[in-house]
Amino acid sequence: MDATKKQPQAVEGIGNPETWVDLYADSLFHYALLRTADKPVAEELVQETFVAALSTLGNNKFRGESAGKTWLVGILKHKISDHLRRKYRHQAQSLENINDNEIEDSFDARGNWRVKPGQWGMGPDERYEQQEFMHIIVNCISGLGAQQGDAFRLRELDGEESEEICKVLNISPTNYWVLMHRARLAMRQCMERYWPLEIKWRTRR
Amino acid sequence: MKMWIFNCQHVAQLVSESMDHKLSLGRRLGMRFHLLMCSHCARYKKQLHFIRRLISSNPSLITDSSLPTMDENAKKRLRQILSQSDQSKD
Repeated sequence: MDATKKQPQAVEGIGNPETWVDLYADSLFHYALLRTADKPVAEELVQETFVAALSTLGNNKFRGESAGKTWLVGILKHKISDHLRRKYRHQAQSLENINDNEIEDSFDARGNWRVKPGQWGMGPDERYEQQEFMHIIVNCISGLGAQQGDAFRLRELDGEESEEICKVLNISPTNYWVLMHRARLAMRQCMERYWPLEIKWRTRR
Repeated sequence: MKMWIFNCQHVAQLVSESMDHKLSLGRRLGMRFHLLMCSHCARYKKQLHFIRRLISSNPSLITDSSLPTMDENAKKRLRQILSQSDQSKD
């Protein structure tokens, strides 16, 4: 906001490394956990982020260009991407070994819906910007199976393009479409499973 | 898959694909035709777009929501790392 204050504030925003845990650990951990759905991995990635951030500070590379949290999240993003690449480096074509549970559960032999998508009573979006509703979304996102979950999270949380996701997950475009199809079926099913409990009464007429 | 006879399973897959890239004309028309006739698939499409909209419009709510906080032992480990390298600086 204030140009004269900008630089010192930004540097100050990083704070003393000893305060980083209190200031940033939980939000970085949430960020990583939501994208990896794996607690030990998320902890590890936060640690790697802090270590990388420290060495940047030590080299005087940090120039106070962004607020502390934004800067650390930027580092964490790279760490998450590296982690996913490592995870799938040796899993080429693994998709073929997994059967199409979500798809078979959702459609009969003639390709009709086994259980038809239910009525959600969707109104204006503001109605759903509430904590308990976001809990449902977060739970469903975190509950998605490994590879399809990673694909879905990269796409919908971070808006990555499909080409990039194929590279990270080491899959072909065809496998990508199948994964995303499954992930979305599962995500929608999950949302519907929780839907009546917390939301329906608000939208009932 | 012939253009005008997509079943629900095909269309659900096309709906998903259309959220990530532009479909070829034939598949797009086939999907739209089916969506006009089939309220289930139309609802499916609406719900998927609804989910996407919610996720992208609430990034902060998602990070501050019901996810557990970081384990205290993990935090302790982090504090050690950060204080050690602080001392060894310069």
